[in-house]
Amino acid sequence: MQFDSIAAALAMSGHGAYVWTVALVAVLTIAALLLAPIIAHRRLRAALRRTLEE
Amino acid sequence: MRRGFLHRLGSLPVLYRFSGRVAGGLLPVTLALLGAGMVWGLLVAPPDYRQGDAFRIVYFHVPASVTAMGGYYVMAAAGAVSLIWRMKAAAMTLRCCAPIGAALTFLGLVSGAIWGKPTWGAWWVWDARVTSMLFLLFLYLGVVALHQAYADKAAAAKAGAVLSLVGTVNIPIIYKSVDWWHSLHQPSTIRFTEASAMHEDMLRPLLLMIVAFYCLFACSLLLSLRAEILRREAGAGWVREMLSAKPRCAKEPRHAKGQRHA
Repeated sequence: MQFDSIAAALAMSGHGAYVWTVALVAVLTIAALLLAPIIAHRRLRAALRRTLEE
Repeated sequence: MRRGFLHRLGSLPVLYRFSGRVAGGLLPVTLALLGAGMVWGLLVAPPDYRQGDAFRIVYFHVPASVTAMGGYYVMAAAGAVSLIWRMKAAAMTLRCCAPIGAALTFLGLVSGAIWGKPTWGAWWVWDARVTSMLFLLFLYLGVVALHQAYADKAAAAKAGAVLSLVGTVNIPIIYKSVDWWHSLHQPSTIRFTEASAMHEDMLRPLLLMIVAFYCLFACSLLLSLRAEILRREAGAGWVREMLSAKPRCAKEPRHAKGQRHA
């Protein structure tokens, strides 16, 4: 571990704002790439099942 | 043997089941690799002697950009197959690759811009590497836009395939841009023919993140394919059959259990 405290890890010797912003954008992109197709598939399946039941 | 397997994947019900099964196994692996790579890169790897901790952006910037370029070849190959053999599965793969590649290129560009501020002193530079990467984003968005513009799916796939094939010219340009032109962007750090310009303690988490991002691309592509197949085949007999069949591990209703005990 390179940092002694959570505050030091957040600060990243003055570069924290840049590094953590990139990390946040990356996590959001990853979440979107995985969740969007899962949600789309689930909705489609439910809609198709409803039309079959009618 | 292999040819037989690929041929079977051309059948949409087989591809639907295959992508669901593989994505189900790949998803936890991808998340574990991404989690491990992020902790390793952000907190454990040593800081750069010149850039300090700002260099940690590399653990997102390089994997996203590398996967965006590699993913373009997957899209172009799918485009070629759909043009030559008119395979529906290939046309769907082409369509599903485009938004994933666009998102990864976007992440590469945004992380690069944020990294540029503390190291180059500017968010954006019209440099060969950055500009050719922006062009890659437009190529991906172009394929997405073509699919939305055409009502006829076959025509959209054809136009998308042609655009994706023409755009492959851009990939070697991106790779070589730092060697061909004077650039603010640093030359490649990972080299296959000689020693990498990076200490092993920094390189290992980077390689892990690259593998994790390739898994992310594969996982997102398979999940998107599953949804796309269902959307396009909504009226097909096999979809109706699959959806009307009862789930295999259906739980026993509670009242039935109670009745048995009574």
